[in-house]
Amino acid sequence: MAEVELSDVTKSYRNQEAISSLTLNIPDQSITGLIGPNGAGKTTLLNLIAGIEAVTDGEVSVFGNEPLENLSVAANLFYVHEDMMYPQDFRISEVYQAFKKIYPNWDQALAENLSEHFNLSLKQMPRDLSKGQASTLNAIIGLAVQTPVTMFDEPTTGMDYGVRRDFYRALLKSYIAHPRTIILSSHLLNELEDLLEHVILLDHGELELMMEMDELKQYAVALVGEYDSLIDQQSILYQDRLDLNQQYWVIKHPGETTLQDLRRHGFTISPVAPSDLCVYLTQMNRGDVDHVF
Amino acid sequence: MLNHKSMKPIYVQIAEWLENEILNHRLQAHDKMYSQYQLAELFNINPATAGKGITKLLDDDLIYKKRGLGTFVSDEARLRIIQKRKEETLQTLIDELVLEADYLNVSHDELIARINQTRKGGSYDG
Repeated sequence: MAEVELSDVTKSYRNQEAISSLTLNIPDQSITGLIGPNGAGKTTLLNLIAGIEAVTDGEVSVFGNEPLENLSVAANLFYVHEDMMYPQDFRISEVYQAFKKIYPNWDQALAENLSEHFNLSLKQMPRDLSKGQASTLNAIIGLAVQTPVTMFDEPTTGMDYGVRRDFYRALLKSYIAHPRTIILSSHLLNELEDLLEHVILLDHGELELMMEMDELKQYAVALVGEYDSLIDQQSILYQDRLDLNQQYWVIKHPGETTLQDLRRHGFTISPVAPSDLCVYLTQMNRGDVDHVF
Repeated sequence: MLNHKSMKPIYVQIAEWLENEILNHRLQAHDKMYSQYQLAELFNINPATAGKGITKLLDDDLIYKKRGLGTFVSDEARLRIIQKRKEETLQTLIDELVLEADYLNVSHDELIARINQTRKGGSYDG
């Protein structure tokens, strides 16, 4: 049994389904990316796992328990999100002290060292922080609590590129030191490529795909060439005309032999970045923007 | 060190980097190999990806496991890598070279002359 399991989960708001019949297990002791366009249901899914919201239908299980208002789930799962609230009159140092009391594995040294590295003074009050600094504080806490399951919803919102990069590095080092189940929702998949072991792509509240990052990178290839008679029409994920003669295709990886064949027929073959692939896969469901005009 | 624009998966690039360490004598027979966690830190990648790179070397018998101690470079690792690279990497490059040469109508003699010139350290000016 996986630590986090969803079985046929549906969540509706006013008859609008945000999550539709979703069944999946989050891989244990792994860093999993939750990817998808805005409105795909990423935050709703995390809220359901965290027990902040109740499912409309189906079952969520965290360590074998239903997470809604469950104390043992609350002690073993930490959820970093944008609307984290801290007591109004607390300084960061007092926030850390409070977490230390609640979470037995709280790493005070890591929290203090990361704060210093990211230029957060422990004397500051969370309510006085900028958006980027608040995200940084939340992210530090998410790393320092060291709960068996830790979820980050768009943790890098408002962070500079340099801070984001350092946060990813800190997350990796923290994971190497204490392997645990980490779920990271983001729309910046290109920045997370090397960090993630698994990828879950959601679209319209449904599971578009779930696979290992390495598989996702091999899932499709891009072709540039003239004739499309050699291309299996069923395998086309995206196509675009480059000029009068040349066309660009993204197709499902057809196997090395076929690729060699295509290369011999003059096609230029290149890899498809996972972030682009996710856009192509979700765009297939709605058509690209050119169709609007 | 990692090339994200390459068709090669990251774990294959890790495996090739390790092979190069052996080719360059930086890792010698019976030296202790990097652990997946060391590689993850070094290349800033998920340890599972690094682990796959190590597994590839294990599958190719380039390294061997000692229970509880880690993995070590095999006796014949360097020779096997050279043999494998000749059959795979070099042959692929030659295939592409010949394909391009045929495409450009380069004669057999000119192709050989160009290769010889490059080996001597200059460029062909036929």
